[in-house]
Amino acid sequence: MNEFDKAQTIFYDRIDTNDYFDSFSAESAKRKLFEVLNSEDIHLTFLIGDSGVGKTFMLSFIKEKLKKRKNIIFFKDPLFTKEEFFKTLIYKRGEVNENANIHYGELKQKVLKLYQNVDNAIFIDEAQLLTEEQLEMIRILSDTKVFRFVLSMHHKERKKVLKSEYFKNRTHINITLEHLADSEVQRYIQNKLLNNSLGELSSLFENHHFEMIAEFTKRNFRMIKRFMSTLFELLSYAKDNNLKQYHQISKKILTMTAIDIGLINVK
Amino acid sequence: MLNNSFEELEKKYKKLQRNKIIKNLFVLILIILSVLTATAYYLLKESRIKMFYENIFSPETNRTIIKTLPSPSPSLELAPSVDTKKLKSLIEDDKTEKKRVKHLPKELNMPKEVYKRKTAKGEKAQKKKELNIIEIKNEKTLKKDFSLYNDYKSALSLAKLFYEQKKYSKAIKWSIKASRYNPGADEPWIIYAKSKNAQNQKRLAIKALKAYLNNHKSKKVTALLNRYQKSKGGKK
Repeated sequence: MNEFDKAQTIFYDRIDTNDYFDSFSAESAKRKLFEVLNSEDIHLTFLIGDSGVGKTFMLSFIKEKLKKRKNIIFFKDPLFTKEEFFKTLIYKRGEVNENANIHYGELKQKVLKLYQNVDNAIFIDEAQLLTEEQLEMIRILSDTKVFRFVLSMHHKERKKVLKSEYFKNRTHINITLEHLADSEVQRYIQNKLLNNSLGELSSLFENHHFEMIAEFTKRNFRMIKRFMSTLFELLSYAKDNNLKQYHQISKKILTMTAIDIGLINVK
Repeated sequence: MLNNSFEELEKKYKKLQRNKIIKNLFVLILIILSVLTATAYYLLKESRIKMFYENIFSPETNRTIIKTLPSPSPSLELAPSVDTKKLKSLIEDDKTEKKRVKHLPKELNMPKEVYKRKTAKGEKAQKKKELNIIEIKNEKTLKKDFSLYNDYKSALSLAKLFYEQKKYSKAIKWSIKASRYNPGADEPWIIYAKSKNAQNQKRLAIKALKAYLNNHKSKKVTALLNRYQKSKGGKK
């Protein structure tokens, strides 16, 4: 296993809260989320951002940071029925619902009773997929002031949820997570390599290489990770097969990476 | 895991580079073609203007002008060099000629009583002033138009305006300009000929009309030429 193979693995798309990168946008969103979750008045928050910008990571990170102080329940997607939702909440409080045929209204009462004096927050990812029924349920629960909801959703589809009758007239906070800035792409890659004892690989890159990567990936977090992982896979292949012209980072190998992950379409 | 093999990626990269080169070449060829077209158009336009001057100011024409006219400089149209004595006599002749011009405004032929009855002295002066302002405005507006659009229509309008104001040198200048924008149009030639005729240069007027008819057909030009040729004996 050469150093390129190792570098390839560190850029795999997985959520490790230790990998938090303090971009300007992430720092701002993090600060606002902490404020909102400590507020007594705000019970509905929307975390908005493009796909791959790091919304799920941010929710996971916040959950991890607050796990000792708050009871946070994180739904990675909204593919649940109302009953399943309540049963999960009951389960998270360490209780087992013995009666399988218990009515929705009773479940709701039980949940409210269980969480009445518990500092809690419910995170729901991919909230743009919420149905009308689910939206109404969230509205009712947030109105009880017992729960705090943080719903993350794609920027493009936010209007459906934000303009729905359930939330239009209710106090809520919107927090937007943006893509990285050009200079942050370079800092992110270098930090990642240095933190994994691969500093010497960082020296292979020149400024214009980082600019190319930022341009190809449109500074999207997920895409940068995928790009870097593929780039190191190509470099590893070149090293194993003694292809000397690919031992250095070049415009050619960066373009080949972009072609491989579909950022450039060659007809 | 790679989506393509390394060799495939190399091939695709080469193809991408080739496509880029072809695209750039195509753009370059387009630019060259447009430059060539623009140059050809400009040269064609220039050659037409040259033809126009050659038709009017051919050496033969100039020789006859020298014999017959008081100031026969070929550059007479735009910057005339004037023999003052002859010019004075010309102006005198011009005055008598103007009296005979048929298409003068009707108001000038109106009985004096009409003027007296309609306008008091002060009013008359006032009206004259107003008229002058309107004329200046027209000239200014037309010149502004020309500077804006640089086209045949505005040049011709200026030529017409100066002709109506009996500023024949200016009318000639603008009729030449107008003909540059539309070498086939007869109106600039007619204004040119009329102005020349009004300046007692009937021979030159006839020459110009003939030159136009050598290359184009126009009933108006033919009629004017016939009219000048019939009355040729009476004027210079």
